[in-house]
Amino acid sequence: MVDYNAMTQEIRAKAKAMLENKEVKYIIGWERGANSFISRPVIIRDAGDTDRLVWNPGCVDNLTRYLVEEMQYKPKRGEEPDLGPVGIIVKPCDSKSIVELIKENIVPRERVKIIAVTNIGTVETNKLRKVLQKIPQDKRAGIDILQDDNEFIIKYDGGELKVPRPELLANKCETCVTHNPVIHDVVIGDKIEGFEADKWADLAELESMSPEERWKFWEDQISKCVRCYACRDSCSLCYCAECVFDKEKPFTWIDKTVDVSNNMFYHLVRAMHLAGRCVDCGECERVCPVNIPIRKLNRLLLKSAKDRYKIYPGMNPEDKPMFGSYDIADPDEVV
Amino acid sequence: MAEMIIKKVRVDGLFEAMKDFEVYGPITKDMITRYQKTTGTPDLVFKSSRKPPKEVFFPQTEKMFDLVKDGTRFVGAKDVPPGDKPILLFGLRPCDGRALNVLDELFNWDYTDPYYVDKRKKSTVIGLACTLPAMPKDNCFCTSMGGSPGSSEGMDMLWVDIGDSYYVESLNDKGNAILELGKGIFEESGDDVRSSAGKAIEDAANAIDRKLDTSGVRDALAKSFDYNYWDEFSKRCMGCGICTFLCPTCHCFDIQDIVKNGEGVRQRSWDSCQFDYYSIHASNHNPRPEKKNRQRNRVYHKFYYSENKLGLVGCVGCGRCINLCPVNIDIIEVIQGAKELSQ
Repeated sequence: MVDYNAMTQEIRAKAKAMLENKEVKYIIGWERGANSFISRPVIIRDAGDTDRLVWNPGCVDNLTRYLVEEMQYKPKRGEEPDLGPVGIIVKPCDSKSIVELIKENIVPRERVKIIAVTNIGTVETNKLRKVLQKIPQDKRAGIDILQDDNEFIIKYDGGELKVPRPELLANKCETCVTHNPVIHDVVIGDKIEGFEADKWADLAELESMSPEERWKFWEDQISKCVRCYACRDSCSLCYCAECVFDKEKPFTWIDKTVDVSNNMFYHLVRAMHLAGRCVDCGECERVCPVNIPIRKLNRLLLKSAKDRYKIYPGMNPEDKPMFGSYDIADPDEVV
Repeated sequence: MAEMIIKKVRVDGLFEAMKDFEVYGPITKDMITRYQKTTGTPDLVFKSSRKPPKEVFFPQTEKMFDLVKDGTRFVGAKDVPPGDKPILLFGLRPCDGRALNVLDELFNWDYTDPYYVDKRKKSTVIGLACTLPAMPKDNCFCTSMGGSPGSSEGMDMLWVDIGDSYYVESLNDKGNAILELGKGIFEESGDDVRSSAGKAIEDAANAIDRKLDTSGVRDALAKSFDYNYWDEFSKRCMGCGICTFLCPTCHCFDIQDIVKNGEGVRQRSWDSCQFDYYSIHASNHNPRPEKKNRQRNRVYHKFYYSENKLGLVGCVGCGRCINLCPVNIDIIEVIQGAKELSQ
């Protein structure tokens, strides 16, 4: 059984010490959501507020997007730039985002203090909504979610509900490549071993389709898109100061028309911009309000980068970015 | 006001009789319900829709007119003839019905919007009261916003699920026309039916556990515009358009001229005040440069500006923005926080 309570206490203590010693300007972490079992991002500036921080399987957000915001912050007129480091709490999957951001010179290593947790998995929000139907509504407020190797345990006012792991586990966790952080200043939690699985099992169905079938599949999915751009906004690697899809001057690259053609243009361009960079943190798919399996699109490219160029992003800050490196042995049949 | 019942097994027959209408109803696919055009009977058991029914009258992308070409130049406009079929919107939830009231006011406000108003005029709206177990959902709070699981505002007819049949209440002539159309399918109702429908609605209302005390909200907002509060909670906002696109009353749009293969059209598409380029001026000045400005605008529009202009609060308590916000920005919590701070 993972002791989330002890880990939370440890996180709070570390965060408090960092703030008190002025090692960081603020800490980006998770707090308990309003009327919700899902935790939410919070920025803690005051050492006295560190008790708000939590760690549990409902800490689903990849917080590194707030790190990017800090790095891209433009001081207002008359404001002194403050280049001091910020603290951030990351899961192993989120730590890969930081590696990639360091590789791409967005985040200087010295400007971030990383408190990393080891993690055997987080919950899928959609699945949790279904599971919670089994708990009377008036008893849902004080829910706690715990987890061991085989099941999730949902504790609520006056009872507990045991749910087998696959029924609640986030899809991205089923194909996780690292349960331990790849970059950190502080690690919280025991090193995790085991949990080996077929990392590409989820793509088998798509890969067995003919190109026509696959196009049909994506047309069906993409036609649902409402172009809220949550997938882009939640992505820590979609950090362009002005996104090509927002650009209106001197002309637009894409219509605001919501139809298959424009939606497809958006999703394909975004996917290609993330090829060899996407670290599969799963945020795009989690935030999508119309359940488009966006991760699959990015994972097909991830697999392609791995198979063709032996590149798996987000694992080592010393690696060269895919588009920034060339090897004479790279396959070149399309050139 | 006529009251009838319709047996569930006879609903298909009614839709057969209504085939002169262009029917929009809740269709569930990939776990998501949307109001879509259908030729058969729509889903009768569903949670409230993910995309709000405003898209029936105010589609996300809508052609306004064709551009007329002379040689290589566009010189004029040609109206698109509106469709002549009457529209039937079936299965509207009561919160979404009240949202139609807001949109009706808005699109008939200082300017009459022909695109919305035309479709709305030739529409008949049949609502479906929220009853257990499908509804209420998490974060429904219609009862706090003046609504109820059995509210019939914005509708021509209201159906209430009472087990093996629906209690049917016609609210005006359009509703009576449907009763006429379904003669022989609708059956006489009685007092016991009315009371069991009332009971079903009451049970659903009691199951709503989220509450917002709206008293004093306007005074609180009048005071709190410059508070640091707006910055605090909107720090975690990602700036996506979920809360606005999926809001049943949000109505902002952007107009674009689209030219493809030599043919031009002018069309409008939903826009969101949460996007940073939404408010950017031609000079590149942005009056709402930060997320706090944009989040504050959303809250004020719903709970302050809308009432000033239309006399209606712009929030109906459907709970979509709370359920779908990826970072748990909770409108109930936001309003309560503003109220506490301004006391």
